[in-house]
Amino acid sequence: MTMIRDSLEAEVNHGGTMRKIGLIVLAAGLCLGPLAALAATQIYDARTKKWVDYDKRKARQYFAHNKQVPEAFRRQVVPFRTAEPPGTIIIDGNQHFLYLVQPGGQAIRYGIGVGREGFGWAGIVRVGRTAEWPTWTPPPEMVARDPNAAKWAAGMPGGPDNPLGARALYLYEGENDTIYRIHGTVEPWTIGLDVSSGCIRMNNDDIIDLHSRVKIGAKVIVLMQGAALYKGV
Amino acid sequence: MARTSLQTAPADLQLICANAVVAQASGARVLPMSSRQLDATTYAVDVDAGGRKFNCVVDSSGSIKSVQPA
Repeated sequence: MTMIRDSLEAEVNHGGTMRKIGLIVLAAGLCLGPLAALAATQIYDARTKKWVDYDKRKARQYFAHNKQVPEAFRRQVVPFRTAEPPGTIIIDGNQHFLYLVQPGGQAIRYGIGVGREGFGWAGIVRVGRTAEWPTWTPPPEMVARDPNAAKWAAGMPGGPDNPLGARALYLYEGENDTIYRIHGTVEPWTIGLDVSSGCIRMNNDDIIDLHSRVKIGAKVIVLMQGAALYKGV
Repeated sequence: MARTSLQTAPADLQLICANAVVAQASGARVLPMSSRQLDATTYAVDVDAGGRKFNCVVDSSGSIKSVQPA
């Protein structure tokens, strides 16, 4: 794994086994952190003809009014010039887009929610396994601080209330689970925001669509999030 | 429409820059690390290749303007 800034090796406890992961991790946590706004996203208000911050409050209002996320974050085919083969996943956390490379210089673009400030990471990983309606097991540190998580310490069964949503793609480095996932969500209004502890969340329709198209072993390129922090590297 | 306050390069342009560095990477993994818009049609992308840093400039059509060790 390419190591750049900080050369941080995150020790993570997953499934009871301590593993070292050579990802570029700014802060290691698990995927389901509380909402916190980095608030870098803006949407265009056609009524006022102004760009407005798209933060948690705005996002809730927008979703409640429109029953969907802003157009930019809806699934769509876009031009995408790359030498990466079809089936490769590219994650651009700054822009809140996930691209699935298609033949013919195109990609399917999905809107995503990504890690909040301090929880960004980058690297080249792969889809190690997938699951439908996955079980969610909160990490010990979340169990310790959150009574709602504590009751699911042994694992929350998959279902419509499970925070991992309808599908999960488990990201591996080599044979090791990175602890990061691409998964669905029960909070679809958070697409386009910096809200997680490092996982990539999608609305359930999109993760079901992506899951149906992705092969085990698919390459996943996660671009560095928070570019402004890294000028001059 | 939506945008981000970070004026980063589009993902495909970042990868075009990374690909331009591969030949100098001696087999190391190459990953874009940061990017910024220089003007209306040009982006700078900082690329890491196994610890070696490169600066790449690419335009919005995907043409590489320069690649230099940092």
